Amino acid sequence: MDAETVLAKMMKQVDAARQSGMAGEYGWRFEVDAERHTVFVTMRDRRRPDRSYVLRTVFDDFPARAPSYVFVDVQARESTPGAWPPNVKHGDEALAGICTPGTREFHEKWHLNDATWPWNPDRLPFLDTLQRIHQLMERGA
Amino acid sequence: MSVATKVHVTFSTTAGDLEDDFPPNQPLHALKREVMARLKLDVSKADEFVVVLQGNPLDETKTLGELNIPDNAVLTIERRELIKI
Repeated sequence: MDAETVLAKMMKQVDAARQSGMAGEYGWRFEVDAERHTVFVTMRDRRRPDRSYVLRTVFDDFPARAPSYVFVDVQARESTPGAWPPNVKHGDEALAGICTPGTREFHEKWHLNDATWPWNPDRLPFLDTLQRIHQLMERGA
Repeated sequence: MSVATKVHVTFSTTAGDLEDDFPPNQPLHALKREVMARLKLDVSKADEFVVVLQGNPLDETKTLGELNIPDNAVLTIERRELIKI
């Protein structure tokens, strides 16, 4: 799929998440890097708002493949051990990811060919995965 | 002092938002089912979800009035259990 189409499909997902009442309630802040098909979402624990984390979502090859989700350092925007909320990261540093439906790491690593959880962009939109990850972040603390 | 006959609330889910006036004397668990039905969500799975205000799950046996839910509040409907396999 060409880059423009991927970007358009990514922005449709991002706009739906931005416009959701959840974005306001959860306090998400979105930054889009259109060239890299990447979205950074700042998340805060609602009960501990002093704690914030930046989730990097890469939509390359979307919707054929699920987006890739990792937490990254606020400044460097790279995945570092300190960038992750407690008890959210799955796997070792080289293969770090979030093991929840909707993430590339879930569908292509830990649940590859799992008929129970096939990748389906219509059933697992960006907003749904963001909410799952936000809940993991809050409950893991 | 007048008693509010309706409370204006937005229920937010990953399937969409529903903003409307709701009776203050109806238990939250019944409102949750009504909202899920209106959003075409599977009501048989209602018990798998909780209603949350500002990060705090609400007692769904109580009414909007008993919970002192203010006008224009946003309540999220979230999964009770997380899937992390």
